[in-house]
Amino acid sequence: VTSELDGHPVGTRVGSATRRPSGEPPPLPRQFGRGTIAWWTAGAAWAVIWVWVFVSDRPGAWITERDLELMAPIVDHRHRWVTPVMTATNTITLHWLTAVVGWSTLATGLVTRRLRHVVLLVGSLGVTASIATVVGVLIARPRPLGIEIIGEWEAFAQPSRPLAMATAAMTAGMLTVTAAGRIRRRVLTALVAVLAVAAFAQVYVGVEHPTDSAAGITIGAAVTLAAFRLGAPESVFPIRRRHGNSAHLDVSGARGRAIVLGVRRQLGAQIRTIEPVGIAGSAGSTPLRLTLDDGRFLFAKLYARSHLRADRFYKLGRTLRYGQLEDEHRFATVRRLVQHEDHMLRLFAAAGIAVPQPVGIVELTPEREYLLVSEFLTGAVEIDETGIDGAVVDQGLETIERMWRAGLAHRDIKPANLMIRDGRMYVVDVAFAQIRPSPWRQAVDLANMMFVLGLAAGPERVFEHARRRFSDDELAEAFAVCRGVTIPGQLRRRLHDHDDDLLARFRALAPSRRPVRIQRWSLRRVALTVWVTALALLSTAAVVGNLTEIGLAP
Amino acid sequence: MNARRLAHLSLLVIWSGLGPVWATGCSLDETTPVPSCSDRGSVLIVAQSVPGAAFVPCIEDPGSGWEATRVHVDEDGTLMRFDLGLDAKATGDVQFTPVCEKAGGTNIESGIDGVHARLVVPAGRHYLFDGGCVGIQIDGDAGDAAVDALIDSVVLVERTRLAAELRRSFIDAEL
Repeated sequence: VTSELDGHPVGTRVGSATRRPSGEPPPLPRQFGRGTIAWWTAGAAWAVIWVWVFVSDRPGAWITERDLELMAPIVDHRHRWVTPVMTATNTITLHWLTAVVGWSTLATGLVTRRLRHVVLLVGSLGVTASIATVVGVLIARPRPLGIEIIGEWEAFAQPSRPLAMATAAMTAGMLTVTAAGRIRRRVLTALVAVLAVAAFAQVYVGVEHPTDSAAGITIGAAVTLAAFRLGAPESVFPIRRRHGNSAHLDVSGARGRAIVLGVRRQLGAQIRTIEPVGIAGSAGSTPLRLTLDDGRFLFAKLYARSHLRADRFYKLGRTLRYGQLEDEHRFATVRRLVQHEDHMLRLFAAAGIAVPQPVGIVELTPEREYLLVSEFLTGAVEIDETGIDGAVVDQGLETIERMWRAGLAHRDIKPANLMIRDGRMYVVDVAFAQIRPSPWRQAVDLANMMFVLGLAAGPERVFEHARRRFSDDELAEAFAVCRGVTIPGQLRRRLHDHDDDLLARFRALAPSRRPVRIQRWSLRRVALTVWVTALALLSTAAVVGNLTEIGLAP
Repeated sequence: MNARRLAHLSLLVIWSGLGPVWATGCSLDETTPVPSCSDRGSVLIVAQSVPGAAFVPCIEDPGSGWEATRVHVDEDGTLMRFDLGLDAKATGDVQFTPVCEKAGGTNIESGIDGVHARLVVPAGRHYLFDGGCVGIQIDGDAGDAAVDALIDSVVLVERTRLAAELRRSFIDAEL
């Protein structure tokens, strides 16, 4: 599917696809672990019990009688050696356990830049505390009756607030710090042991009924698992031992098998191996090389919701910093994002611009994960890894000219997205491409292309070629719009490392023109800035003002 | 309605109820209800905070602009704080502890067998009984009527009576 695809109609399929019948799961169905579902079910069961107890005294009395029967043998056999240990354990659980685990997790999360996990930790603690408070007040269950209480306690018994908070902190800690696998299983075992001891201590000293402890642990686990499974699913936001680019997803295991199955069913091609490729130059997706059974290659970009969210934050950040420079509207779903890129690839090809031939889209998880498959440019190298001649300079400038004529903008012209094979330039990664861009954006594309070409061929030579295709005004405009923000990161670094100041040299060659202002102020930008600032301040105030409530202050 | 919309709606419902509790800083002490004399359930935990006390305080609506702002119950006792008016020009603390924190005051008639009462300055009352003390302390410019209203709203219930009610209406257990 490399050179063989050249010349084939756009959208050529590599084999015969089969339709997924109704009711059959997608290649990578969205699934929650049995443990997670069990905790959620238990949490729901507690909710039902609370409602029942709230509306009628009878179940509360029955449960309390059973609780006291269970507690009797324990409190009746308190031992003078065990009692101090249990009392201390109860005190630690009440005052310190959540704070120590919570702050440790928070610090680790910040150091390892797992901000999402940190936010989920704080959110889980907040929701758990809210549930414990609301249920505690509504049920108003006293501490165990008829039992000598020898430990510290506070407020109502049901559900156990200290255990709920400690469970939430420890579950969040486990999911933030440890990678899935053997170590996490060991940590889980230790966590269960700690909670079991803490729960036993609370019953031993008589501050809680067994069902208070059970309800507290259930709520802490159910809330935190819900937050992390929905907000940072392991398959999309895995915890790695070594810090890597969070955009790159693990393609081994279930996802790897799903890719093989999906490509076979939806594109009719049998994959032999899947390997990440060009990781260094990619931040918005997971680029892959798929080796087929017959030895041919396909290029695939894996998109998931993490990429969608990253795109949203990137656009929000740009809007706050510069205003609506261009289309900063976010994609609603991953499906729309890949549809957009696939469509752009076809538009570029139709405009006569050399791009990898699109092969198709593979759905792994509906609305969540898709694979955009295209031709693999075997033997191609990034433009700055090879010397370029006048013909390549011309191709680069012609590419811009064709984009202008077709009403397209690439919006991410940089060395990593310009590939050379057999003296021919290919434009790749059209994810940011746009139809009917602003004149400003078209000028930026031209400037960035000239920078890339100028790095290898020198600014004078590139400018001389450019004057054959573009007017002096257009060239002056290109370098009048240049700012740090308009130059992609990789290209900016290359320019910084270059001996000459290319921007200054191009500006010297082009007719002078006043720099184009890029700050765009609008009511929307002001409102958005106020909203985001207020939200950040309120969230910070809510967390700082409630440190004791969420267990982070002893 | 699909599952996704249902999930969003559920989250909205949950957050509309729980979010304000968390985000506005309504702490446990601010949400714990005042032990009302008409709801003996909430008085039980107050009784447990001083297990040896012969009497347990509960509150009848103090009126006169007093609003409960904080109720803290733990193994050392119970503290109920009331603010007078929106601007809290006076605060009243009702504290239930095993022993009175302050000594002194002028002995007065309590009108309850087994309870000694003392007037404390500038405004307040101490009730002493077997195993416990209820102290009422008012700070700020409350006025005589409001002081009397808060003092009168504190009702002492015999533990034995509370225990009998517990056995009759809930379970057969000691208080």
